[in-house]
Amino acid sequence: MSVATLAPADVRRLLSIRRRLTISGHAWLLRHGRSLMLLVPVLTVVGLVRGVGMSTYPRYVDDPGTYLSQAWSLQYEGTLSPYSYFYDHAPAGWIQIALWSTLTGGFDRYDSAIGFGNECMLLAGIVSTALVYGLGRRLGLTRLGSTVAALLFGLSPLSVLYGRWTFLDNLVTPWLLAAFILALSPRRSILAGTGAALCFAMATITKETTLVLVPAIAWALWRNTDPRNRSQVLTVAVGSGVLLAAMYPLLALYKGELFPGPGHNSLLGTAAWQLSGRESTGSLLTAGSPMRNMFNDWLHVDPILLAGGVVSIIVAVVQPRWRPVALALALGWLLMLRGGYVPFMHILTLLPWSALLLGGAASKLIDHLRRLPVRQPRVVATALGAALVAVPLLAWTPRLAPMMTTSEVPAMRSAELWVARNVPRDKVLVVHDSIWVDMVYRYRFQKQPIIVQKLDADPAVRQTLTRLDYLIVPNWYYQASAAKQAYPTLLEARKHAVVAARFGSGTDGVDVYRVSTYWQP
Amino acid sequence: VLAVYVLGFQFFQASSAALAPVALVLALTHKSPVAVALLATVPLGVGLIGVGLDVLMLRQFSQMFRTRARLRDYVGVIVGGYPYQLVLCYAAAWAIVRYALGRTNWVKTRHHGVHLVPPDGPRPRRAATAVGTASR
Repeated sequence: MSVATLAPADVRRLLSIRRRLTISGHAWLLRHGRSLMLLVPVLTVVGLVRGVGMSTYPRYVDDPGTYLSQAWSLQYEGTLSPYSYFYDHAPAGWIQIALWSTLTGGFDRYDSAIGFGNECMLLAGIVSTALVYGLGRRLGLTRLGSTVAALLFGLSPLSVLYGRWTFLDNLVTPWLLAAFILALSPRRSILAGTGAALCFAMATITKETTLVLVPAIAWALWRNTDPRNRSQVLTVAVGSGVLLAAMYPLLALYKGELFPGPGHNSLLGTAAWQLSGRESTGSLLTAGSPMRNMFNDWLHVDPILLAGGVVSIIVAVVQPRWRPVALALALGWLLMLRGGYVPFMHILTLLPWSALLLGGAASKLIDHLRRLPVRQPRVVATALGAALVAVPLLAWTPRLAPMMTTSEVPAMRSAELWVARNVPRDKVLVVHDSIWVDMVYRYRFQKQPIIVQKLDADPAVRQTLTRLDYLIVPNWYYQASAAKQAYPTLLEARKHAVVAARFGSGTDGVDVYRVSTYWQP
Repeated sequence: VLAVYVLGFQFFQASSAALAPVALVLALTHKSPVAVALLATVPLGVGLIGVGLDVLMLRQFSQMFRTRARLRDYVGVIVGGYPYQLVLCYAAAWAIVRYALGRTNWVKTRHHGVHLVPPDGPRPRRAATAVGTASR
């Protein structure tokens, strides 16, 4: 073959690898340069808004500490949980956290584990924002529309607030977005389809509730595959996705803990409890239900993204490409109507799709206005665009400002510091999960502190328990309506205790109790 | 990558043949950590995907050449997948042993020449298709 007949792609093969890399890098920059110019400032702003004040703003809640304790346990003890792992969630989420902390010494870099968790969530939030932009482009949004979507997702007070807490859903979001981006790949290759399925599988083993979105990703993948290689793409993609996701039930199977039985935890037993045994939060349509109260809280934080997203589902009727994403959002809303148990971080599963659809709808609207037969369509469009920017800005600033500027230390953090200064290390503590890692790893309490939920739930804890010395638990534990059943030992211990220190007030306050030495649990 | 795959595959195949007894003994006697057991499951899954692709290929083959693949053909592909790999392993190991012994001549299976027309008939259109395609 003579050089003259070579296609440009073949000519490159004659060059050195270094030269080829330079050329393809240059081509990539030419293609994506404008996107990068938009994305870099957007990500910087999002990173700043999410990062500044994250150590003081959201108060400590249940769960972040649990995931961090499990990540810590994986890194330093080689087990999936410091207590017996009972399949509350699939473990990939804290495996990722543990990987990042092993690579970077995460638990040593902050003076509290929550600080490290915040860092993980900040990273996940920035990556998710970039992926929202990428998915916007794949859905056919203009650069402007994608930027709007990324900003909506990155800066919505709901997103900032819930995105700061160490929740598994925050780690699910980037995997899900990546799965959709790959499923909508214009190349339609086996590799892209497989990548999509693997990303989706990662999302499901990060938090198993993601399985609800299987119809959405399947639709996206089906729509985008070419009939010529659809069967191959789907076989390899579904096969590898199922294989990766199957690691979780296989883990349980290999440990002999898949099926329920006496004397051990089991995946299916816990799943049955999660699906039916948990107290329902009611339907969104029932006034006064916990679900409705939760929804009102969300609406109070940011009505724009929440309501705008659900309204924009309608736009997907005329935009076939957006339909899988609209389906993902609709499924999230249907869960709230169904009347089962919905956790309060469920909002996180609605945000990326809401942002994409709302951003897309806004940019479509502006496009239409530009072509309207009015005298100055550009002026109208510009005015509307300005309004679209101004409304969120005005609505969000008062919400975002306290998140970034609060200097008040969370009550639980103050209580933790007080205990570290005043309590001898051989005392037995009952602690809230958010401070467990610090008590064990940073302050080295010799008798391992006990996470409050495990006190009555884990039989292994009960068996070795001979005394309790201090209770460091937020007040809402004592006030919860189910407290009598859930934490009998805790309530009993409090009857034999005096307040040693008090931080904050109300349900979020933390009283440090010193338990009488004459009382035996 | 392609070169490594094409030229090196027989070595992979032969080494897997050599390791198979070890793996079998380990599987039956050794209690491995759960993480290792999970990793060890991956090749099984990949193998199952491979069988799925074989089935697809059979379907495409039958569509392309307008021959109807019967149910028992599909069953043959599925059931025969594993024995076929064993045969390949055996062949690869045998080939490497032969190569190590310096015997680089052809191994020919017995040939009945049924496609050849008897000498007194018309000449065959293509001559000498009897040369094996096996390069191992």
